[in-house]
Amino acid sequence: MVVTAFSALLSMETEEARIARALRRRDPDVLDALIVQYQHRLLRYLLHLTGNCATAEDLFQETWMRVLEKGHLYDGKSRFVTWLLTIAHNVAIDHLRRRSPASLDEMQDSENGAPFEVQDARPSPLEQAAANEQSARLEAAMQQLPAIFREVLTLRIHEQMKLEEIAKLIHIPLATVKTRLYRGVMALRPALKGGAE
Amino acid sequence: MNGSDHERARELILLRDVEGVGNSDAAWLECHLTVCEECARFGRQLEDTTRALRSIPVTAPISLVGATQARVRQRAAELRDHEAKVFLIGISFCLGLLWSAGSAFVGWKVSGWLAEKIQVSPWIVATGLVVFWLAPAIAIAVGLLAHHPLANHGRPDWLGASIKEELQ
Repeated sequence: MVVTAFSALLSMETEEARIARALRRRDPDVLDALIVQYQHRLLRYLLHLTGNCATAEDLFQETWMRVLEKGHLYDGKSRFVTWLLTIAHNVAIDHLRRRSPASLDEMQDSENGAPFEVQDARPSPLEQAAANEQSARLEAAMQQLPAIFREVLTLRIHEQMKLEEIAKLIHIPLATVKTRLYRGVMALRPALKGGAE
Repeated sequence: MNGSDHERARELILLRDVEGVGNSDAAWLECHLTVCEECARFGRQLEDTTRALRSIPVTAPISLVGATQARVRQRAAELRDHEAKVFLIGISFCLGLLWSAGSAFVGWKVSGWLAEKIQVSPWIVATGLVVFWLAPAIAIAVGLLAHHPLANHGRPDWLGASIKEELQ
C-alpha cells in the first residue's frame, strides 16, 4: 500500500516535471496535449469567472498563449492545473483592467449594466448543460453571484482545491477564501431550496 | 455553545471534503451538528451545492480547441525564430567585444612601439589613439543630437502649435 502510494506520488512528480521540461522547450506536441487535457476545466473556470461565453473563449486562447510565453517559469513542483488557473486568473484580471474596472468585484457592473449576461446569440456551454430545472435555477443563481464568489466556488467544488491553494491562486488571505465560500454557498440556497431541501 | 463553536464547525464543514478532518474533530463536529440547526443547514447546503454544481458539465467547443492549438503552434514558431535571432545577435556582440578588446590592446602596444621609434612622448601617441577610437562615436553622437527633436529651441517638435504658442 505504501509502495503504491509512493509510486503514485513519484509518477505524479514525474508528470509535473515532464510538463515543466516540455514548457521550457515550448514543445508544441505537449502543448497540444495539454490544451486537450485541460480544455473543459479551464473553460469552466473562465466561464464561471467572466459569466460570458465569448469573453471566456477569448481568455481561454489568451491563457494558453501566456502559458507558452511564461512556461519557463513553471517549476514542476506544484500541480500544473493550479499554475494554469493562476495564469487564467491573471489573464482575466488583465482583461478587466483593460476594460477599465480595477477588480473582479466591479466586473458585475461593467457589461451594459446587466450583470454577466450572456451576450453571445448561441447558447453557452453552461446553458446547453442546464438540462434539468435545478441546474437551470442554479445556473441563474450563479450568474447573479458576484465573480469573486463564483471563482472561489468553482475552484473549491469543481477543482477540489485546498483552501490554501485557492488563497495563493487568487492572492487573498485564507480567511477571505473561507468567507467567500461560506457566503457563496449560502447565496445559492434559494436556487436549491425546491430540489434539495 | 458560543460564536467560536459555530465558526469552528463551519470551518470543519468546509475542510472535511477536500482537506479532511481528524477523528476527534469529526466527532466534535457530529456532536455539534446534532444540536446546532444553523451549522447543520450549512453542511447540507454545501453538499447540495457541490452535487448540483458538479452535475452541470461544461464542454469546450472543438473549434475553440483547434483554433487555440493553431495559434499556440504559430506563436511557438515565432518565438523560436526570435530566440534564434537574439542568440545570433548575442554571439555577434560577444565576438565584436572580443575583437575590440584585442585590437585595442594591440593598438596600444603598437603605438607605444611607434612612439619609441619616432621619439615622441608616449602620452601624445596614447592621446591620439584614444581620440582615434572615440572619434566615430563622438561624431555619431553629435549628429544624433543635431537632429534630435529637443534640439529645436529645447522643445520637442511633436508638441502642437497651440501648445508652442502658449509656451511662448
